[in-house]
Order: sequence, then structure tokens, then C-alpha cells
Amino acid sequence: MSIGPGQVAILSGIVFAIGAFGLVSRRDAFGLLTSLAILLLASVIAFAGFTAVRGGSLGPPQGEVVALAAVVVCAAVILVGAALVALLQRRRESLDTDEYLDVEADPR
Amino acid sequence: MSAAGFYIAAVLIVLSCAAAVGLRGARESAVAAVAVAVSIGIFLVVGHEYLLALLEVVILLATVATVVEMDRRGALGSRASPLPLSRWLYAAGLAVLALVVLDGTALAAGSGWHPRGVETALSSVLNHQAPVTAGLLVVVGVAAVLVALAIGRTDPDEAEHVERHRAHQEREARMRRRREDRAAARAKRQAASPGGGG
Repeated sequence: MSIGPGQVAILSGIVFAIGAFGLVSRRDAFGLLTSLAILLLASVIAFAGFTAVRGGSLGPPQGEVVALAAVVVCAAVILVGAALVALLQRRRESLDTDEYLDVEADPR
Repeated sequence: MSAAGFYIAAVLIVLSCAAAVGLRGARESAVAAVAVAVSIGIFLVVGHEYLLALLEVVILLATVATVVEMDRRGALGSRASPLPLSRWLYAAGLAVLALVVLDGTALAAGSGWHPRGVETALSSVLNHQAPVTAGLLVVVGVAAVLVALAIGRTDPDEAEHVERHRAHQEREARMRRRREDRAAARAKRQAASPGGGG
């Protein structure tokens, strides 16, 4: 039994769905960043998986490079996101994202 | 890619992702995030992409370690309050929709939608075919670290402002407590006096 791009796409879709669930269901900063990373890593699974089964629509070499780019972008997003979260924590003293929707809240 | 290796890695990835999203404690979430990075590394090793696996694990573990350290120092704040049921249902609906759209498309398309390619090592591709991309990735990584440091730094005047604000809040809380104590004492005196209570 061999693995084809279809199985890889299904795995990538499941991981993406888990990330989307976490992005909506979490309100704390760590959970949101983790969910965002899982969303981005779904694309890594897809590109690297297509390369591994030698059937990527971009061709294997490009697939690997794009997967590496996705890993770097994922790390960059998490780092900048964590820094922004730290800034918000200092300024608003709350990371509950629902509180940011309150337009009457005192922004200090 | 061997089928057994793929399915074992797939189960590990799905379980670790579910744990990272579902667990609420800081330490549990951090362990699950590490498990996600390692399980995807195992997936890449199963696919014989060793260099990509090494880079992925190193980059992601360094990122997770940075975020965990920030969380440990309290920079990321405390845990948020639990969500209402409606939000959970909304999240579940969105996840099911994403699953149906992505996996439904993959299942409906079958396996004839992809052209075949040639196998080339990632190091060779980065070195000979995509050196500019490799350079740009390094630049993106370094820029992200610098931007994160620039955003997350605390200026002396900002620290002073935060300290002033905290002192102001404490003073207000003390005054509020005093007012409440005085009001309570007054009510007690009125209740204790013979003609009081009115």
C-alpha cells in the first residue's frame, strides 16, 4: 500500500481544521499563537508531503523550498505575535481578545 | 514514503495538534506545542526529507522555547476566562466547514490531479536553484527576531509610566476601600443608635 497526495491533503486538512478550531475557541495569547502556528504548519505538511510522495503540483524541489519558507514564516509570525502580545499585556493588562471588542473600554 | 510510517506520523500529528489546542494549562500547552514540532519532524523524516526535518524541529523548538520563556516571565498575561458554549459551537462549525472543504476537495479529486516531478535534495535546491530564496528566508528570520525585540522592548520612560499607573490604581483602590469602610461604619452606628435606621 502506497501513500499518495490524497492522504497527505487529508492530513493537512485535518490539521488546518484543528488550527481553525483553536483560533476561534481560544482567547489566551499562548493558545492563539499555538493555533496560528498549527494553521501554518498544515501548509508545511501539504508541501512537504506532496514532495515526499513525488507528486507536488509545483514539483518536488519547489515544494520543499516552500515548506521551508512556511516554517520560517510560521516562526516569524509567532515571534512577532508574541512580542505584540507582550506589548498589549503591558498596555491593556488583559489578553482576553473579547475585551478588545469593547469600544468603550478605557485605552489608557 | 512508507504507509506505516505515514499513518503513525499522522496519528501523532493529529493527537499533538488536538492536545495543543485543547489543553488549557500553560505547561501542558507548551509540551503539546513541542510535540507538534517533533511529530511534524517525524513526518518529514518518514518522507526522507532529513534536512527539512532538522531545520523545522530546530526553528520551531527555538520559537516555542522563546514563547514559553516569555509566558513564564508573565509577559503573555494570565489565562483567559472559559468560553461560552455558543463560541465552542461556532468554533466546531468552522472546523467542520474547513474539514469538509479541504478534505472533501481532496477526496473528490482523487489522485490524478498532480504532475510527477523529479526528486532533488533540499540542500542542492537551496544551493543551486534557489539561492535567492534561501537568502530571503534568512533575512525574514533575522528581521522577525529584530522586529520582535523592537516591539517587545520596554523603554525606561514606558516602565516609569507603567509604574506610575500601577501606583495610581493602588491609591484609588485604597481610597475606595476607605470609603466603603466609612460607609459601613456609619451604617453600623446608625443601626446601633436608639433612633437610628432611618
